Amino acid sequence: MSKKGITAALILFLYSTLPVFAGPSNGTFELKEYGFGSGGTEASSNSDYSVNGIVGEINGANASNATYTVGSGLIFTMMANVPPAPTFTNPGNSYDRLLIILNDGGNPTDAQFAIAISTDNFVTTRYVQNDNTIGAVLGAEDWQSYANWGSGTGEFVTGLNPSTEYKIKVKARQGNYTESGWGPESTATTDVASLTFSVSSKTVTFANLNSGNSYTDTSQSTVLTTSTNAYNGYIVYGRTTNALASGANTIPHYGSPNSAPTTWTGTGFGYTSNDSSLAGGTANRFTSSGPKYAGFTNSAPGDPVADNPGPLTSSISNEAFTLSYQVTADAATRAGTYQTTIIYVIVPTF
Amino acid sequence: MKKTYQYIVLLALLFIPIHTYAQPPALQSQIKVSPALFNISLSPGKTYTYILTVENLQNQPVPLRAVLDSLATDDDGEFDFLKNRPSPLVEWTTISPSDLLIPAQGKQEVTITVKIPSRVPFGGYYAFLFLDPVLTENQSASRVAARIGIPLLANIGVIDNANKRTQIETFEFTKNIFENSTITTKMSITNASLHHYSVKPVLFIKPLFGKEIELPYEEKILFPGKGRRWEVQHTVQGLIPGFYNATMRVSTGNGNQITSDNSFLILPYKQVLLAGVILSLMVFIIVKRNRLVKAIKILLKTDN
Repeated sequence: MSKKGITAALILFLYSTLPVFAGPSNGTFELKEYGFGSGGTEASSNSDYSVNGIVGEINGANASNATYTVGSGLIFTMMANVPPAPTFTNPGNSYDRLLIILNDGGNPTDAQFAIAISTDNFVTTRYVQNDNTIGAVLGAEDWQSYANWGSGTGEFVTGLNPSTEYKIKVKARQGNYTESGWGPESTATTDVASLTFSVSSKTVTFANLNSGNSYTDTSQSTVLTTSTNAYNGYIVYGRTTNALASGANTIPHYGSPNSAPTTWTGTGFGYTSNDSSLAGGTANRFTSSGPKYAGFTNSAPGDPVADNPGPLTSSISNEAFTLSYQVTADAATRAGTYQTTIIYVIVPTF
Repeated sequence: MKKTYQYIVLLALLFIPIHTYAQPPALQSQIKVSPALFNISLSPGKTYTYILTVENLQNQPVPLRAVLDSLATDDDGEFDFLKNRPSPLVEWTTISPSDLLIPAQGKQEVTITVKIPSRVPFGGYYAFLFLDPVLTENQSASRVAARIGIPLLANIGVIDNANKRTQIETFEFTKNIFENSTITTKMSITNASLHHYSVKPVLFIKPLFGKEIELPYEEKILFPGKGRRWEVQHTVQGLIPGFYNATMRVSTGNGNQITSDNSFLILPYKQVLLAGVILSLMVFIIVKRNRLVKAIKILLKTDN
C-alpha cells in the first residue's frame, strides 16, 4: 500500500471512530465533558454576597423513610433542621386557647420558626400569627425566633373554638434559601367552657333572739363554691327579695352598703364576705380590719359578694368563699318568725 | 379468774381504734353547666340550635327553671343589669324544656333555638339564660337560692377585620418618672364597630440598650360602641434606672394589631439626691479642709 493509501485509510478509521468519544447527547445538546471532581470546599463572603461550596453531589433522588429524608444539592445542605413535633397541650382545660412549646430541633438561636394550624387535617391550613391569634396568611412577621415563641415555657395560641381538635406543625429557616419542610404534627383539643356553682345550705336558721344573746346571732353562714375554666373568671352577686319580715314587721337591712362596709354597730341584718379581692370597690373592704358588714340590697342582680376576675390560665376547682351573716334585733322588735330569701347569682365574666 | 378475764377483754375493747372522718359541709345545691358561655356567629334568615347541658352533682333531684333575660353592658363593657332594655335576641330565642327536674347525679340537655328574622340589622345581640331554682315554701327559715347566668353573645353578619374600628383611647403611665421598677399603666380601648370581639393587649418595654420586655395583659371582649379599661401595676424584673420606650400592641384577632407608644424614666431620685448631698459634703470637706482644721483648733482652744 502506498503512503497515500495508508494516510487515507487512517483518516477513514479516525473518522469512523469519532462518535465513540462523544459525550451523552440528545438531538439538541451534547455533554462534551463530565466527571466527578472535588468541587469547592469553602464558603467565601463579603457583606453583600456569599459563595458556598459543596463537596460532590449525592444522587438526585431523595432517600427517605417514615422518619427521615435526605435531600440532594446545596440548597438541602443549607436548610434549617426540620423542627421535631412541638408540645401541644391544654394545661388549663381551656375552651379558647392551647399551649404550644416548640422544639428548636438543634437550630441556632437566630433561626426562625413558623407554625401552621388546622382543624381538618391540613385540608385548610392557617397560621399562628405573631400575636398568637390565627390568621389565613403567613406573613414575614409571623416567623419568630425560638425565644419569641416563648422558649421552653411556650405560648398560648388564642381565639380557638371550644371542643375542637387542632393540629399544628412547625417549620424553620435561618436566612434565605434555608426554609425547611414542615415537621411532624402534634394534636390538642380545646374543652367546653363550664361552670359549677354550689351553696352550702338551702336555708339559714338563726337562733331565737332574746335578751340572753343580746338579740344577736352571728353563727350562720353560707359557703359559695365555684369551679370553672372561664378565662375571665366569674362574679357572684347577692341580694334578698325583702328585708327579714314577719308579716308587716321587719328587721331592716344593716345600714352600710356593699361599697363601704363597716364594723358592726347597731341593729339590722347584714353579711360579710371573706373575699379579700372583691370587685365593686376597695378590694379588701370586707376583710381589712374586719370583719366589716354590709346590708343586702333587694334590687336585682344584687351586689358583688365573691369573685375571681381571672385571667385563668388553668381552671379553678372548688374555690370557696364564705358569706357570714349577722342579725341584731332591737329589743322592741315584735316576737315572730322573720324570713327572707337570699339569692346568689353567678355569671362568668368576659 | 373467769370474771377478771372478762373484764380484761372488755377493757381491751375500749382500746380498739374507731375511725372518725371530718365531714365537709354538705352542699345543698351543686349545678354544673356547659358551655358556660355561648359566643356565636349568626346569619339573618337562619335558625340555629345549641345544646346546654345541666348537671346535678348532688344526691337529690333539683327542679330548675330556664328563663331568658336581656344582657346590657355599661360604657366600660361591664354587666349592667339595671339597664334592662329588651333584647331582640330574647325574642328570637326559645328554650326547650324550660322547666327541668334533674335527677340526683343526673344531667339534662336544654335545647336553645335561635331563629333570626330574614331582615335584621347586622351587629351584636346579647342575652342571658338564667337557671333559677324552684323554691319550696319553708315557713321556719330564710331561704338561700343559687342562680346561674349563661351569657349568649351573638354577632350577626360577618365581622370584617378591616372594619374593626378599634382605638386605643388612652395609654399612659401614672407617672413620668418612677423611683423603682414598679410601674403602673392605664389604658382604655374603644370599639366603634357593630360587633363584639376579643382584644389582647401586650406591653413591650424597650430600654435604650438591652433586651425588650414583653408584658401580656388580660384579654377582654369589646362590645360594640363600648370601651374597656385596664389599670395594671407591674413589678418588672431587670428594670434598671434609665429611659424606656413603651409600646402597647393590641391584638384584635387574625393577626391584626393596633399600637400606641409612650415612654417613662426610672430614676431613684431620693437616693440620687442623698448621694448628691453626701458627695457635696465630701467635696466641701476636702476643699475647705485647711479652714476647717483651723476652725476646729480655734474651737478647741476656746473650750480650754
